[in-house]
Amino acid sequence: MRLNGDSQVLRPWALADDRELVEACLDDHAEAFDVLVERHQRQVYQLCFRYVGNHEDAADLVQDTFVRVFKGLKGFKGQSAFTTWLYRIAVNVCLSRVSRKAPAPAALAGNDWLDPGAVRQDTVLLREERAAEVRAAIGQLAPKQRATLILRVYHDLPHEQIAAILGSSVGAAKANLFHALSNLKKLLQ
Amino acid sequence: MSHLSDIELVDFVEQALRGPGAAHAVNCDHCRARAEALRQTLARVADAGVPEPSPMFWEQLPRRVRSVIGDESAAHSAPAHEWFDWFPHVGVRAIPVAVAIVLVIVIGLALNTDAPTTGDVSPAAPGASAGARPVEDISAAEPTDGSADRAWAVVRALADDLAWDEALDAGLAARPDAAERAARTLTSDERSELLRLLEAETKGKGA
Repeated sequence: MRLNGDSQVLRPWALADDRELVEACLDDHAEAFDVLVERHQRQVYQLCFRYVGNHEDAADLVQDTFVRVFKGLKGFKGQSAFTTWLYRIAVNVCLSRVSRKAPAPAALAGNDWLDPGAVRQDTVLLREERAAEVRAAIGQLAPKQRATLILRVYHDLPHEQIAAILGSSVGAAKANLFHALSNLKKLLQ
Repeated sequence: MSHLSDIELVDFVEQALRGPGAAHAVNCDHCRARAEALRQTLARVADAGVPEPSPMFWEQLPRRVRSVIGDESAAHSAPAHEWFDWFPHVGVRAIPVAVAIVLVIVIGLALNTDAPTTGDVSPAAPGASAGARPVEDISAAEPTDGSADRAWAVVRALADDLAWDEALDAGLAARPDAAERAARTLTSDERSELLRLLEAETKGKGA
């Protein structure tokens, strides 16, 4: 165990990189997987939320993603970055869900799962309304266009990594992004 | 030079376009207008944030994941039932049905064989058609004492009425692995037929 500047005890795995955490998981160190989840849960949640447009489905997808990650750890050879592999699983989970169910964008009212400490002003509400419009429009995109747009715009992944995640070429990834933006322009007019 | 392709436009918007395409874009109103439209859409899309869930959600997520993994590990550590590997949706209640259907098929195929060499003629199974395909003659494997009659009577009761309870009341019960052992003796065609019957049965009972 280590101590930080505030004399708080740090878990030993908190400072390990993703590869070391994966190795620790394979050595039956359960807490190492908790650290992996905590480290990447926000990014995965945001990806899933943008894909399905509501918290409940996104929460299920995040959970499914990490369960699949755990089950697939033995098959992770380290040939790609852990985040590439993680995003690939998350996108596949989202694609599987979307193929079975149409996205249900969240309504602005009744969002009691939101942080109750947040100050709600008119500008914030207007911004959320516009964001909801954008999310609804994104929800109407074809699955791979949607995935490409989310990974590029919101996760700032390079086209090469997006291509690796989606199993396509760099050119196809760029073409998907172009068509996603073109379709969104029409949907948001 | 022709206008920028879709891919080149993306590169241009992302300031990654090089070479002749870049030179063209600088001087082409058409391409610049297309690129500007993409930029505006990008700006509007990029501004759409994700509502932040409650802090409790982040605290609970690792626990939820661990709980699901633990539950699935416990389920997998239960005694393996190879029988159900290829019946993913068969519930526990279908076990006696499955056993009875297996027995129906086995009996039906056995009773559709040619006349046994001993001269005994087995009564045809209910619903057996005259043009049934020939199967191996298992009559030689049947015991020759009277125990066969009682055993077959119980089997027929199961097959005809699916009366599992009757067999239990009679003091007979399937061994835990009886269904699995029976399944292993089935041919590929028999397994396909059994699967079809089970699917029809479970759909009929709304399982």
